[in-house]
Amino acid sequence: MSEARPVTRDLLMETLLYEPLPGPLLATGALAVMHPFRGEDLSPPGDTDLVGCLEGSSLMALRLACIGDEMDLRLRAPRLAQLPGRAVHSLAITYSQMGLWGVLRSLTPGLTSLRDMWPWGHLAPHAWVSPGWACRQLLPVVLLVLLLGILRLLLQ
Amino acid sequence: MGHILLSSAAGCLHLPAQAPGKPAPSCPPQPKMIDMEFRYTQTLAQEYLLHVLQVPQRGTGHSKTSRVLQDMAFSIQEEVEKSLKPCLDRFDVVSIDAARMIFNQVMEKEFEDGIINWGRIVTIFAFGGVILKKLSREPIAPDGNTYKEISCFVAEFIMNHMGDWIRQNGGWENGFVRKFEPKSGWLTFVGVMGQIFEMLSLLKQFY
Repeated sequence: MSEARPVTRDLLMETLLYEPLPGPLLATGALAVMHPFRGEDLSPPGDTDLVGCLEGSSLMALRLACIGDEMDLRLRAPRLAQLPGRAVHSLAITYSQMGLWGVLRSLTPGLTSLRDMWPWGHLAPHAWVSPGWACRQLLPVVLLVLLLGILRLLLQ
Repeated sequence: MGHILLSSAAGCLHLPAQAPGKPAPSCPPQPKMIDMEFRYTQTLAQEYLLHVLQVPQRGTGHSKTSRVLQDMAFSIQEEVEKSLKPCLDRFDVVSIDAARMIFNQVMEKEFEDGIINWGRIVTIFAFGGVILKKLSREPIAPDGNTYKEISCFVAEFIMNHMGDWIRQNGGWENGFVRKFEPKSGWLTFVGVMGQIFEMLSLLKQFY
């Protein structure tokens, strides 16, 4: 259980149970059984006649199929955790084509961009800048911060 | 999958009544290879059901497969019990035979569209846990072997209906675990950094 990620799983389950379900993979009729179960009882508890039992098992089966499909679909889609594989693959291709220096060179533009985008690196003390210029310079940083925030949420 | 089977069956459960991984007395005899897979699946089910019963299990014990499965299936079970309570109240599980009948009925309906995936397979274990808890609440107290009986028909259903699919999709370790296990934080970090550099390179084109 040490490898468990309870927060992610809880979020996953919350969305699994109440979000609309995409795609043909999902169990047929699953949507039809979503709403009645939000706290709404279909019949009094203890109704154990055959029809009720069959209905109950059908609903249960559809719901389980729906949960299973949704979970499988989400875990099959590319996740942030799979990015390392893609990054390594990309680096491996660069390495095979251009060698070690090629890999280092491919990282250089990113580092240069980071340095160039740092707005206060260009500013002399007490220098005046127009608001538009400052906005243009700050936008990438704001985007970066937003991206990191989203990444953090997704990785939890 | 042989090595997994041996290591898993060798000492995951330490129960007085029966050796770990051995099928319950009511389980039908299986051919040898199928039998190994059956026993492995049954061990996974037993470990999950003991986890549901919150029975402490001694030893270093569980395989990675078992831990990942327990984590996923238990989350599903909790949510199913919470959200489908009205539906679950309709089921009267008074005996192990009733449990088997309801289990098979629900599972056959779940898989009657022919779709099999790891997500659905996890729900089989989760529903086994639901049934076990329903049975445990009945006035006729289940004996210590109830979880073994349930694990038997859980494994039976899985092997009969999706044994081939599991084999074709990498088995438990190469298929299921690879898909569901949490990834290393460092690898994630490296990947994310790569993506950030890539994004910065793209942004550079516009600024």
